[in-house]
Amino acid sequence: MSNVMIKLEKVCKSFGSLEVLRNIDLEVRQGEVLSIIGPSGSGKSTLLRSLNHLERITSGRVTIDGELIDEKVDGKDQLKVSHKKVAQICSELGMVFQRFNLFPHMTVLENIIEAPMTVKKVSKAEAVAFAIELLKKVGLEDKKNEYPSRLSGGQQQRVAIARALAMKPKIMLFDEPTSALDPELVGEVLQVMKDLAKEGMTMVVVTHEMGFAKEVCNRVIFMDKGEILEESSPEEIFSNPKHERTKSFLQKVL
Amino acid sequence: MKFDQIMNAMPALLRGSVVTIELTIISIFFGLILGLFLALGRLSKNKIIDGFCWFYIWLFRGTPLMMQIFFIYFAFPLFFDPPRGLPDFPSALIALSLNSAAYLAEIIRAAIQSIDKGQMEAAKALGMSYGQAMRRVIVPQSYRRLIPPVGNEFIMLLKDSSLVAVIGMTELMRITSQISNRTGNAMIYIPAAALYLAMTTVFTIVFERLEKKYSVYE
Repeated sequence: MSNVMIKLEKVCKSFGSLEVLRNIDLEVRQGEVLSIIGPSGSGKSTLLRSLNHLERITSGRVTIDGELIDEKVDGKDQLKVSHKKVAQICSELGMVFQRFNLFPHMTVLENIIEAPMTVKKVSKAEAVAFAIELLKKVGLEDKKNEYPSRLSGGQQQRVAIARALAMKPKIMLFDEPTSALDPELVGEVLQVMKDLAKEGMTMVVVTHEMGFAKEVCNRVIFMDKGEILEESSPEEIFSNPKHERTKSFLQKVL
Repeated sequence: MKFDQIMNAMPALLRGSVVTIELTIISIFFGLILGLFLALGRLSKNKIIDGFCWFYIWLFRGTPLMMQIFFIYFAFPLFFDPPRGLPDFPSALIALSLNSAAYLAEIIRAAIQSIDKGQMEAAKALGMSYGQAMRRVIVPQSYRRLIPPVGNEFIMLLKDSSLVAVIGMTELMRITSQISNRTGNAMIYIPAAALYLAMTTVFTIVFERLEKKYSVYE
């Protein structure tokens, strides 16, 4: 059995009176590619964002690679680790956003070397060498001196993936990485993600790309109204969904 | 008014203009530094820091600049026994810097808040601390948005610096009124106005250039 990289225990999250996550239990193992599907507002993105402190949970426990990074009991913070430690653990999770969120005032190369240099204090020469390697991997080496505004959406998202990989993360989180893209640009981003999955990267992907979920993921969870309703292999969930709401969701999107 | 009268007054007017420019540039410099800290303070989650910065801005925007100048020059020395005042130039600089900081703080805060929230999230997801994210990602992006309103504030300050004439600073306004009183010819205000316009025009162009320079990435 490989290591458990992500563990959620009885995680709840509310915004005011709105319950976004209800009693979520989830484990993701090393090398696993998990996709989270479900209607909008079902809590998928919040679940992803609570893994790296972009959202703080209301109750429950979040453990990343054996390190507790969030724990609340009755809304009270039980976390005993320093901000620095949490930031360090969170930097082991790379995140790719729906709207790319590249730094517009930096060139492609500067975007990629920024965090390794600022956070990890890597030397510039080393950061640049690794950045070029990553840009080759996502097929954008020739764009290294462009500003993000000069790139297509697909290219920007590939740069964003390279930027996240520059921190040598153990886990990659994708929050609807292709939802803001023109249809003809989706393929290039999914290809990069497939390559990553092949290399054995642990990935959690919130997606509307059922094709990707089917083809690449080991496991799919279906969420609705803040709960995990169904969890199984892609073959199982797409051909033989058990839950009524899963069925009706899949009918709409497939 | 004769042409040679203007020419005779010109050296004094130009000296006054230099003082005006010095006052404005030094004050906006310190105003920007203090304004940045006030803006960050207003954005702070710490209620005491936020409250203090709010109070500062409330105080300096809510009272006349001329009163602040008088206060720093005439009233502040009375806190000491025996009274210890500052000379006119530092007093003028302090008043103009403290006053412009209050306005600049709000300009900077608005510029920082206008940066997309996704930028801070991306920086945090990469493991940056709040300070690193502000310094490397958020504040640099606000520069371009800051330039037009800061240019505006700069030009306002250049003209408002004429108020320090009341404490005897021999900047352009005071020199002009001295010449007018001495010669009995108020027409001297015409070349003085032309000098103000020349200064504001030059700085308007400087700020337009800066804006272009910081727009390269858009």
